[in-house]
Amino acid sequence: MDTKETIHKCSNIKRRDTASHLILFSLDTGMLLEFNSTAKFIWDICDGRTVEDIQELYAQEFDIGMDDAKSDVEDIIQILKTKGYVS
Amino acid sequence: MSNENYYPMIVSWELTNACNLNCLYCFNDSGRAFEDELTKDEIHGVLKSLYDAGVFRIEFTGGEPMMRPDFADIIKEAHKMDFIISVASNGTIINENIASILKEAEVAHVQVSLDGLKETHDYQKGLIGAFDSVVQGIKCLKEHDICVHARMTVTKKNIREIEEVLKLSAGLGVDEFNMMRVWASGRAIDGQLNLNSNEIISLNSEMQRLMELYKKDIGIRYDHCGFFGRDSFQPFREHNERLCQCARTTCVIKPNGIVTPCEVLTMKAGDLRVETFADIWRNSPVMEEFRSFNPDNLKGTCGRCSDRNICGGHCRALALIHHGDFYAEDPTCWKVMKNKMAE
Repeated sequence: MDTKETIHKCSNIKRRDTASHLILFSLDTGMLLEFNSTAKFIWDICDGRTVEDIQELYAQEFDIGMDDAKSDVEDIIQILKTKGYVS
Repeated sequence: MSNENYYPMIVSWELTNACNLNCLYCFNDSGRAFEDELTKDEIHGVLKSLYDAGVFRIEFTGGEPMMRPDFADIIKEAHKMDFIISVASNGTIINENIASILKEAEVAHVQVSLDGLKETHDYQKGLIGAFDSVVQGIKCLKEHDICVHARMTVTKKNIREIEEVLKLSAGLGVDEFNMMRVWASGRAIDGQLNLNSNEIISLNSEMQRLMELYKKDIGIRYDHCGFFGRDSFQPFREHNERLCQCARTTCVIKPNGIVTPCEVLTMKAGDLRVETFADIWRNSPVMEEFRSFNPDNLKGTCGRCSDRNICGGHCRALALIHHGDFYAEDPTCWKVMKNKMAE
């Protein structure tokens, strides 16, 4: 994944926050996506930042090394891209 | 599967039992408003309860939901709370004002009833002039660029008019034509309007033909008619999921705030005047009963049918209504009817 790439939320996504999860609903696909708190953090900062920026913020937030942060963030962003939630 | 695995994506909300029509097949026997219908303030509270439970989509229905004097306020409030809104209406009282409000609320679609050409539609809807009114209503919605679905409830009376209604719908700019067989409940419980087995088999073939012929002009959806080979059913097969989503992703709110898994038959799962929606969805034994339904326990023809996992015995409410047994065979399935004739 190109870490200089900027990540934007797609339009036509609705969200609901439950006690433990974030649920996203795509109006385009009619599909639900359920997030835990770490994935929720990544989703919330997909606002035009680069992948690299997201990885750094993620590492700071959860106090983990950059290698783990890179892997986690790339995995989540890949899922979001595949399912049409970010571009 | 635990209750945590079932998410309430869509709620169908019968805002009122009041209706200006008198449809021959109405499963709610709608006409007069109930005396104990939710007030505007209570509706505001229920909207919040639905939002807190994570509901995304509300289909406002009835009765005729537009009969409520506060219909516009309810729609505006639901929109303000970020719900995806759709409305199911008989289409006869839609005017410029209502269409503007629906447009502003960004409704996903409005479903209107279109049961035949003039004479047939008026007959089934129980009001002379209903056809002209609904056509006017559709035109009004399309002038406001609102997505319109035309619902045709197919009975013995109108089964030969499907192609004409489809063409009429396409000509009016309707976005989707949606065909359902009549439900043998409510005013249609005596079965007089029901299709027989040969009619259902013919109907399925006819819809396949019409789909090929008109799919470039209009979206077309139709009920399974007891046949499950279509591509659209493939995701259900892959996930071993049955078509009926009652208590799994959807449920119904009655005009008085009673929550029930299924619109065809009210089985009280809870009361929104005294409980939150989330509590009812998670903890109601009625919801649990629906969720723990096991197609392998179906009886009669349904129990022997190779499609029982995806079909789930069609509508379990109909089994309860007609046989008093949640696991009885579905009396409206063509296979059940054929087997009865052979006995």
